[in-house]
Amino acid sequence: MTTSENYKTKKFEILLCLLLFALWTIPAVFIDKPEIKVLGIPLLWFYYITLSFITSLVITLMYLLDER
Amino acid sequence: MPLALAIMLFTIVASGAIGVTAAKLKVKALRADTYIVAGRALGTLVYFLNAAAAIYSGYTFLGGAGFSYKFGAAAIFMWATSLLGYVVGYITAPYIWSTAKKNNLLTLSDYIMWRYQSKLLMVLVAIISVIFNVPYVQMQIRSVSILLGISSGDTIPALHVAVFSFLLVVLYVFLGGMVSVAITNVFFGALMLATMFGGSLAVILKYFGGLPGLYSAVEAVSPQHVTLGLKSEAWFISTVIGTALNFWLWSTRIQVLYTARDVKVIRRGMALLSWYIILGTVWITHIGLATRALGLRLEDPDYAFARIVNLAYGDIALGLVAAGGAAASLSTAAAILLDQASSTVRNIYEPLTRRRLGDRELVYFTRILIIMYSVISTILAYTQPSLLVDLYLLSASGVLQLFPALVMGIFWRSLSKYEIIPGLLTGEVVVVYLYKSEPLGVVPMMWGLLANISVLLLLHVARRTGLLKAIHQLNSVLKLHF
Repeated sequence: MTTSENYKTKKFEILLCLLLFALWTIPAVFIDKPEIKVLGIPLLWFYYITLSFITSLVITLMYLLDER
Repeated sequence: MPLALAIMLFTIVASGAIGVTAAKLKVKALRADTYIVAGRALGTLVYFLNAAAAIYSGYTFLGGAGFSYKFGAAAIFMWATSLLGYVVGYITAPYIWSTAKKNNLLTLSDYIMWRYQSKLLMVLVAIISVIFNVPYVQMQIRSVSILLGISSGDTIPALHVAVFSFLLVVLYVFLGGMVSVAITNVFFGALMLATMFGGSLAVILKYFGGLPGLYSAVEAVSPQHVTLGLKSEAWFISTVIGTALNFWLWSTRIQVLYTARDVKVIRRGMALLSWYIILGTVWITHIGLATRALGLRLEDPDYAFARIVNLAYGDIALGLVAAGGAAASLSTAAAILLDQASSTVRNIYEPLTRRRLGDRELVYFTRILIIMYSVISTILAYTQPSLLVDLYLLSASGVLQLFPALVMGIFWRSLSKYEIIPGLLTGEVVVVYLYKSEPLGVVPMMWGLLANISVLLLLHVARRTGLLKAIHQLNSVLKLHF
């Protein structure tokens, strides 16, 4: 590398990233139960719709709280 | 002329006019960074809509509904691909952008050259990026052709008109480079979001009164479609991980990243793009289920969105959706063409000929290659239409093998070309070898990445412990004595 860079990723951002990967993958094995419904929506779909909102919120909050 | 076709053609011609006008307004001086990365000057709104239009192609627009029509809940992987992709992008893209800005990097391969100081690796990455993007452009021509066929009721030679539309795109990319691409994509990105969200919501409300009604209707017709049962859980999990990690490895996307004005625009863009998924892809995935619940018979699953909108709201709605689909396809094709051409000139032609091109020459050669790649994609669209999906899957798998070089290299400073090149080659070989097979239900791209990282780790350990040096010395001794 010819030039060193100042931009550093924060540790909590990496941890959040790993946590979100886990939340998007591991529960798939346990929640694919169409007989369980939340607000009339099958559990699997409800979980992933909610998780989509949470993921977007996390990215938005990371941006809003970022002081760089 | 059918109304739907007229709306679609008007949109295509209007986008061509916007692109050509943008070229006249903005590209007066032929500077390479203006032509290739829009002078790194895009503010939040233009950057956001340009990125959305370049990233989401006909594959998302038509394929999102088509995949859920065929495989039900397994299509949720598409939400994860983008949303996790933006999380990865949020923590890696600012670093890549600031490095590119400081060192005047224009392509993904430029970044790789800067990071590893290896011309071999740079050329390798450029070749992988260019070759694996050829079917992607071809796929966009085919998507436009499908939409033209539906909106005209198969009364026109759809593929010929699609190629004409594509040539319109080539014209404005040729004239204005990234400036024309970005300004046209503002129009395209907004149109896509409006049609994906508006079209899907209107259909779901009209026929099912909301999501609970939709799921009940699907369960009555085909219960498996509300579960992951049509694909295995191993497939779902490995696809989510593989496609999310692969999200920022496409050289086109890195080039779009470089167009941002500053790091804040990148981070804000990631947040906005994640909401684009909530309003777009999440809804369009439900359209496949709606089509299934209504019992519509389709010639091809990818026709789901256009057919159901036509059924629900008639010709004008079909025209708008077809225009949105054309926007998605043509905007992606435009960005890819520019990236393929500039990567070939900077990262393959320059090192192989040992020439350092000036700005004018670089733009000149890039323009020639834009024409060349558009001719190749057009020929393939006519001669190899059935290869599309297969080649796309192979492309995505091949591109994922760049993950260690681009992303791991950011956090792991001692990683060098001596580990990256053998790992990359191993990953590519595994992906090609496992093409179309899924051992243990896991997609080939993840087996490739596993092999890639394993080789990389082994070589790293060997290098750190001096094992390689010992082998080299032993080899010298053997040569001396035998």
